[in-house]
Amino acid sequence: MTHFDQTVIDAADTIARAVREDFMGIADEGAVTLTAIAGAGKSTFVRDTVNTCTSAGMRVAVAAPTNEQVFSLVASIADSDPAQAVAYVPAQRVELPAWAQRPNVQIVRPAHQAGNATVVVGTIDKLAAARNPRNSGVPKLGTFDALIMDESYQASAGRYYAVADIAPRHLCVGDGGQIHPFTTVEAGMQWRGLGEDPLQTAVGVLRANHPETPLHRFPITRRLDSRGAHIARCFYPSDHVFGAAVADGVRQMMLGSMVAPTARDRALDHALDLATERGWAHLELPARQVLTCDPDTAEAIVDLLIRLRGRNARLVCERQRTPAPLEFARVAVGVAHNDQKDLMRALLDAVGLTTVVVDTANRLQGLEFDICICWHPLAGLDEADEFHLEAGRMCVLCTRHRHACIVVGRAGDREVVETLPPSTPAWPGIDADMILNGWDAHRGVFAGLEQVRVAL
Amino acid sequence: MTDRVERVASSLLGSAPSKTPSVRALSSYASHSDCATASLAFAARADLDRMCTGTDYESPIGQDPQAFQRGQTFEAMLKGNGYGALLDLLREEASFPPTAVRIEDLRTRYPRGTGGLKLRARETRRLLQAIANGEDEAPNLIDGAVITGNVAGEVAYYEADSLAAIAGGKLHVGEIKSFAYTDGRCDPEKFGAACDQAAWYILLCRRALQDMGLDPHVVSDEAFIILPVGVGLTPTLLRQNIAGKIRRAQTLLETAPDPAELLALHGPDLQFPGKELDPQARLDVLERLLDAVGTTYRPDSCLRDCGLAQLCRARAHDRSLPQLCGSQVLRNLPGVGTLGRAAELAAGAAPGIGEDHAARALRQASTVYDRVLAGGAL
Amino acid sequence: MLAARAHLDGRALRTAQLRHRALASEPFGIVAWQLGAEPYTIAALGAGTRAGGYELHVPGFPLNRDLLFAATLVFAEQFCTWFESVAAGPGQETTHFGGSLHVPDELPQILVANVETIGLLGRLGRRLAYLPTDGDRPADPLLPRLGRHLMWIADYAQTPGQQLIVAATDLLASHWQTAMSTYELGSLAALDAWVDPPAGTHAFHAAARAERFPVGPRPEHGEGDEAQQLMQAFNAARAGSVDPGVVTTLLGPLRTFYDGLVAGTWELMWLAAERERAWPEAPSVERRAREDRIAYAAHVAWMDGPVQGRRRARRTPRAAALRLGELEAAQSMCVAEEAIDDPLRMTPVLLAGKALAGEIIACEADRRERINNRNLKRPRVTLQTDEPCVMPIGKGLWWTRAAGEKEWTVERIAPMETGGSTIALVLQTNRQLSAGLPVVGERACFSELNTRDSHSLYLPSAAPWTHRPADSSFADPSTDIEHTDTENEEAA
Repeated sequence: MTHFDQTVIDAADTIARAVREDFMGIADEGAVTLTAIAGAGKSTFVRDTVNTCTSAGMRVAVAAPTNEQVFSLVASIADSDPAQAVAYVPAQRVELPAWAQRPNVQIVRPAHQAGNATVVVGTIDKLAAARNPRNSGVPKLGTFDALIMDESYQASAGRYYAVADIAPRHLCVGDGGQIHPFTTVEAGMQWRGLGEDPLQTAVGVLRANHPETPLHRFPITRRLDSRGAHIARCFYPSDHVFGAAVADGVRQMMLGSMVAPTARDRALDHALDLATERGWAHLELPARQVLTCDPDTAEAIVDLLIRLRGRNARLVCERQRTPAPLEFARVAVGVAHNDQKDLMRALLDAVGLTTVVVDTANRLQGLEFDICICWHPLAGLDEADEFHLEAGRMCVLCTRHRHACIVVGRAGDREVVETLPPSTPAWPGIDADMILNGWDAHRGVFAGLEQVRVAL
Repeated sequence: MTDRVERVASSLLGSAPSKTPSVRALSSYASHSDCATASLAFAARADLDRMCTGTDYESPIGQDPQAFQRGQTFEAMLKGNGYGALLDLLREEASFPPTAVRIEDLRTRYPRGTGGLKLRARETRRLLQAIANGEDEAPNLIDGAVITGNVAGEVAYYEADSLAAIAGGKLHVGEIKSFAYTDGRCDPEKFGAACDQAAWYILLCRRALQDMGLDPHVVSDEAFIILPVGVGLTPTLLRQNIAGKIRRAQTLLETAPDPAELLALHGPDLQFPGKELDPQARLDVLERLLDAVGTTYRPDSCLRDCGLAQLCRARAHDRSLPQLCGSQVLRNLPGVGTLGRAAELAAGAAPGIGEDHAARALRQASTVYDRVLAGGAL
Repeated sequence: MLAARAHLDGRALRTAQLRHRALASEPFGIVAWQLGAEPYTIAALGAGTRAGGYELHVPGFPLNRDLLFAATLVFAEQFCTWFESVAAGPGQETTHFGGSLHVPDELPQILVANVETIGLLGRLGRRLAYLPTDGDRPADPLLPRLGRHLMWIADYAQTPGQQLIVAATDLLASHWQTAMSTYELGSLAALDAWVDPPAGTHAFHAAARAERFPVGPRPEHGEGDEAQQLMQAFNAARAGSVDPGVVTTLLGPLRTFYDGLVAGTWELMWLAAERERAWPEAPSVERRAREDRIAYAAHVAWMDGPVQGRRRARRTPRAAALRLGELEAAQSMCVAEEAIDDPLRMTPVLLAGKALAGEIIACEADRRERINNRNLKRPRVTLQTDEPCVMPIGKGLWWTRAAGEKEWTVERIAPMETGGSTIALVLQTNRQLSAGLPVVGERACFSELNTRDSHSLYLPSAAPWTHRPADSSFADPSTDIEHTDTENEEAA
């Protein structure tokens, strides 16, 4: 049995080669951007590109927005070439977790001492502070030949500014479908559409100032299989063509049997069975308008996970070819609000599901799980607003899983986006309409889940 | 419209103030399409903005003379001297040919009134055809187009304020607006509304082309919004891709209730109040109509541009509806029918079906608030 | 909940026990009117102090540049004299960006009716700030000077919690809950009616009536029609003349007309502000007022510097990023300060599960725990709340009386039968808090909000290549927008 779709992988390799060729071909100052969908194997690509650079005698700085993303990069780059020393510059009060430590990783404090390293890795903010220290008495971190930035759609132009002079050549890799930089201050929106907007993405500011910057698109997802990719297409422009690397039927979940005495148990089982077969289930509580922190939805998610535990789920995939029990640390509950998160955490701890990860979409960006339970952002709302509609939020929640995603909401949720979208404001220079895009994406997801809907 | 629907519509309208269909009216109705009364008025072509004239609920909506004049002046300046200023702008920003520009000014060529509209509609169709077929004599600029549109089963002539500019084989809709563009910025609400209007025009053009069996994609997703820069009236042209807004317009057309059904639903007795009635009598008729048909009051959008908003607001107040406070408050009162009920629940009344969530939050809010007021601490 | 109660009571309810905005002893009031759609002109300005009354400035026909500038110049003299005089008053020397700065003790505060007025003043400022003072149509240097002040003020007005320019609508809306929608809150007259409705009248009806009262700056209640007629008569009579001798005498009817409008708003605005003055000022107001005074002093110093206060019409990418950082820091600080100062402001925070409050039932001041093999002091308090608490264990919270110091972490939560919770919190330092420790038997509040300095962005002064356009035509876009004003006069 073949585990992979070779055409998809070949197409991705072709793009990867083209990106590296463009990147290595930058003569003076310049950048190359690569847009990928969720789980495209960006980190692998970053790692390989670092190696390409070092083999060519280049010194490289590698950056990402958050500490967690940087930990993964450090481990991945260090593993790829144990002979190559990797300098990690930690942010204040941050320790490299044990799982990311490697013999060839050097932790460099203060950061400017990493100036001679061949490969240095840190958060955007940390590298920026080292390169351009506030205090003129502190020595500056020197420049490198190249900057490789992961998750560059999460990096705002303002943060990018601070680190950009670290190297003349930039490679910006990221996922354009996720949550974009935002602010809670209304006046912070005043620069929308202007070249100086600090809230545009790093890729955005590059493209605005240097329109000739090549924009490549990765045509692959390694995390999602074709079932997952099907829904993920709702979040990306239709001309961004991509396929799943893993072949159909390779990812399998197997559930044990369990007595289902009540109708509720049977409905939960049905959702789990659908998720097993189709990779998706959409569990709907009865239509009702509720406050965002709805205890019934939280309870439904807890019951679903208890049921999943009871049915002894076992998984098979391209990495694990004999059935292995599902680890609950590889299960995430994704929510939109912090109060939902607090409630979920308390309820899950109370039933002993302490290892299940619960977090808001913002903080789940870039993470991967086997199973994801998505608390639908529109659940129980009578009217959709910009925050809840944001396509990026739903995109994150729907693209974290390798095996299955179960969306939990209420029966009336679909109607919220079936009415006419509101008239929306517009800004010269910004063609994409966030509200209407969110509206369209949500409709697409609801339509895609039509066949896997279960009433609770 | 079928004859029967036409009859019902005109009986519904009676002698009430009416308005002629236009792209602008269509675009503004779109923000109230979830209101049954607004939909009915749209189907019957009743002008809600003049319904409450002379009553306590007359809304202050109406264009300021200065604002009107500024718009007129700006447009006249662009179109004066054989569209000289406009053509210069189009040459600079949209690669218009330097010479031999064919301009079709349908507005001045045909008489006013229904007869003129029909002629303009026919001519517009012919011009669209020429553009789609890439004919040599196709125009470069159309002013005053009238598009025969079938909106929710109702066929009407939609007069467009906008221009159609043909550049690079594509038809671009151009909206001329007189709000200022300074330092790369303009009012996002107004700019959004201008784009919405352009979206409707684009959609109607595309449907007209489709009806003639021609390629609708000859109409571009990219609209030209023409604005004055800074203090004066020097024009600039902004190119904006409004594909999202066109899809929105499409959705409305697909989901809009069929006026025939809408009209059939309400018996022949229903009528908008005639303008000859005295204000109180007009209000009485209107209230009966609102009771029978129902409304959707959303202060943050209705108060901006609907002539009935003040009346709806007063009715919402009398009924103590949570809608009165806007969507933010509404969201915190799921399942609670009235503000009075919310206050009761806050005071500890036993929640009924569907009220328990909101009741818990209300009760808690009320307890904490009172504790702070009484003791000065949380 | 408050909206429902306000609806039932027929009047607005307080959302704060204190006043969270400074009110200077004698603010400078400005009431402005514009034409229907001329965003960069003023039709009338009333300006002055409450005690001294307002001085009325009416250009007559604001589309005429000479007339507009003549009237604006008189206002410029009045405004600049007052605004700049404060800087020279008694104060303290501080260091600011390496230099020395004289920060006055007095806050030069401007009071306006609504946020739209600030916008109008900012646009007027934008128009005047770059006027050439030489060439064939030289402007009086006082006009760009006024413009630069106004432009700066309107921009500074966006800083959350600032008090240099106060809009009466903001002052009321941020301290009262009505049963109106966000859209309606823009009307000062309607807000005022909710806060203080006439006896026996439900505020809804009072507001519906009041809302027809013109407040400006946009003519929305038909006053544009009358203005238009008067303006046409004025234009006919002056027959193209801009000679002050001719024009002044002809201005009578327009001045009377605008005097009526300005007087109404003037009264309303002071009424609202003075009523709010009666509420005790929150403790943190003084800190923010000091920030305002420093910002003001720095602005005046810049005005007196080599470029005479000239600023870019558009910020550079660097300045925009820094400004965004400032705005965000100011907002979180302001939200935190208000809630920490005022239990009523903390109430929504508590209800959202971001704070907990209750009676302290135990305080272990000398408790120790082992951290990195050292036995360190880590005081613990236990409190009982009335409401259930679902915070995650390990969450960091700040005691409202030491919100600028170390946080406490949630160690344990036990639900009680009464519906509340018992919560143990551990202080994350062995150092003494300035306010000591919570006392057993007292109520205390712990929340997510703190007043510690947030991380601020630092950016190199030279823009990196990524943030510089390859096509450098947009270096400093044309700033004088006056040159675009060519058609108005003829058109009108």
